[in-house]
Amino acid sequence: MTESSRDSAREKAASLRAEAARRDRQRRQLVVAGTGLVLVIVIAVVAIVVASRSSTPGTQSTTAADSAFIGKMTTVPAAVYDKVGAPATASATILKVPSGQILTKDGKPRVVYVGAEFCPFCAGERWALVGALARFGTFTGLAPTRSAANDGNIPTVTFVKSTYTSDVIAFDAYETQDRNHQPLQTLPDDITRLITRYDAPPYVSASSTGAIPWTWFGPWQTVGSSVDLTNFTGGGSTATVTFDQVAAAMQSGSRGLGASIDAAANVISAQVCQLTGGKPAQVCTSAGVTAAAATLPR
Amino acid sequence: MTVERPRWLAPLSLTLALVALLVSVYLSYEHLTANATLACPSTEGPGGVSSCLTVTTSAWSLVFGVPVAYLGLGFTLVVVALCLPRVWRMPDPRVDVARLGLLGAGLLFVFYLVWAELFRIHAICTWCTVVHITTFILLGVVAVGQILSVRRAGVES
Repeated sequence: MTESSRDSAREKAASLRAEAARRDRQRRQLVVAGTGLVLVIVIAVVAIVVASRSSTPGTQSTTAADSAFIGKMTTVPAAVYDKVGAPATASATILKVPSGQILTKDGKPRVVYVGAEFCPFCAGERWALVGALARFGTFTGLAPTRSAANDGNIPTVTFVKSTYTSDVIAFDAYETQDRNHQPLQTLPDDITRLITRYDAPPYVSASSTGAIPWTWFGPWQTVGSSVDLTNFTGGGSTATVTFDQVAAAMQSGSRGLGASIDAAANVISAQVCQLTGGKPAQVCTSAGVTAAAATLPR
Repeated sequence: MTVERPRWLAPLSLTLALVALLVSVYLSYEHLTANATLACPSTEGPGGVSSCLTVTTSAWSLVFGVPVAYLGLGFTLVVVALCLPRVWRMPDPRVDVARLGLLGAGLLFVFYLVWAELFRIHAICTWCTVVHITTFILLGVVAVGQILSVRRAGVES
């Protein structure tokens, strides 16, 4: 064998070894890449499963973690309510009802709320209503939901499966339709008669006949939301805040969203205090509630 | 130095990049027109929610004040450029690193957006999902394609 043919053979062998090494490297890299891609798919599937098991708008099933914000909206410190005080301007949605009767249930004055899950104003009002009533009693069964996706998608809670217990006040809530405008709860006859009579002229304008949310206290009815929805939407057409963010805003009484809800809650508390004869005193004589009481129509 | 690529790499990656670009253009147009003509199925119910409007108008549709739609458009424009056949023929390994790095960063951002959709917004934007899935597939195609590419010393003929 000549020197040149030996060199050629060596080069060929080196080339074959390099080719084999390259293929081996490629194989290892493909395994790593394939593992990575499969891992991404597994993570995505797990995330989707976890998300679908947790709260989704339009459903009432929730996990404890999803509902954690509810604990915050029902435990706003009294000091925060006192600091926020009354709304800057009296709410135009609270109307004095000269002949309004105070309903009772189990010997206690009764507040009645009529709304619907699709309704964005109901969504806003529930934050204040729950916050206020939680100072007089205890809610169970509140569940996260949102107003209709094409109608603000406002985060809120639904009263559908909730119960409320209090020593001083009774509360009945009716959600007449779900997020998709399907019938949900039927109003009892006495409430139908009440809303037909008072949520209509001359008590409200003709264009607002039957408007919701409608909350009946007796001396007053609230037609519409006393919470400014632009704080939920940032002026846009749909919500820009999460459940947790709204609850946190309530807890801090922050300007805008938190103050709007807390001030509205103070007004509701003031109305309830009128019905309960000032009980409980620590709520009804608090600075926030007394300040809000001054804004109620006489 | 020349680089031999799998024959399917350039056309497949460019097609995927163009799909992502087209959807990104549409989402950016929707953002410009305040979602006036957003065609997206809105289904709600147990198991899932699909609502582009909810996602594209949520607080998570902006990152540091920049609309995510525009970020997506910029991202896909660069990806299309990097997937052009002429660019695939470039032997400079830094181009491969840039392409893979950009798609990897894109996938991380997709993770963030999907997390926001699933756990914060509680709604899925169908069109955004098309971009997300395309980005993932594209990353896989580019990764495998670059692994199977062979660099050879010599003058390009």
